[in-house]
Amino acid sequence: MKLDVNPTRMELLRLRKRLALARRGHKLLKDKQDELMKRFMALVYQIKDLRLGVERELEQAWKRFLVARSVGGAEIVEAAVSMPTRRTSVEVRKRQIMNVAVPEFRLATEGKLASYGLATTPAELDTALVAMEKALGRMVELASKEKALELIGDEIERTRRRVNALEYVLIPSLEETIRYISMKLSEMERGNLTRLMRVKEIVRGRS
Amino acid sequence: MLNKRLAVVGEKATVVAFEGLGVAAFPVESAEEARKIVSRLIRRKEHAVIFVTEDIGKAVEDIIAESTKEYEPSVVLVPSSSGSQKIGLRKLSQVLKRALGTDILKVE
Repeated sequence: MKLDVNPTRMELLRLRKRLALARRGHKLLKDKQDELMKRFMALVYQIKDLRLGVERELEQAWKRFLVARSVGGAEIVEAAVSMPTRRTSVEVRKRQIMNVAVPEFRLATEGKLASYGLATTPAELDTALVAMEKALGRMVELASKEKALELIGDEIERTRRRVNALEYVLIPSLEETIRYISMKLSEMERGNLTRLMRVKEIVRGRS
Repeated sequence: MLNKRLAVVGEKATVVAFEGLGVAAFPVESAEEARKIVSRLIRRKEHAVIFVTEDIGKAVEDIIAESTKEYEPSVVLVPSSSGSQKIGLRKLSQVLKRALGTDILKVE
């Protein structure tokens, strides 16, 4: 689509500058998009493997917990784990990946893991909790990576929109307008020339 | 550096196990309750990571999808004690589809 401008030489020069700028911006954004894509793909495969591993590990841990529950009795086991002295939190650190702020989580634990009477609870509960804690560490790792993937994915989408807007809208319309102005200018030039020739003929006829 | 807590949302028999690890557990019994709790947890941002078990994951899929653009919290679907239903992987392929336009993992 042609822009709405006056076909003057000034305008032509201005548009040429804008076109050069748009092309440079397009190239930069395209490079950014390619690099984001590279990071994204690397993350995707990491996450896929990690997630499958975590799911397997967690399922094993659940099974152990269910065994513990049926051996020791649901009430006893649930009461045992409902008053933990263990406090689990994550350290959240901000990291920049290609100017995208991404949180990074690291598991931090304090307190004793088994804070219940050992006499009344089944031994299976201890192994179940140890297995679950191991799974939890990997789950937190998965959480960081999945969040990074989501945020980078969002950035890729935004960058792609901008690349496309430049490539398919702004740059073509600038090019078309530049072509229009230069045609118009040379048309005016030719008009001027014929008028001059005609005037000269009239002047020559009179003398 | 900031220390934030973790949360687990799911069916009671499943999440109590995590309570023993010092993770904040939110047992839910119905789909509405799950929606209410998950959206509140996401809005309050007190927990950096929210694990949602897959058996209630279906009920809150749209709420989780909205949270993906936020910096925090990270919502992760994990299998419940009855085994993986691949909802977590499906969420991953949705992210892919939005970013790339196609799904390259092909989770059935």
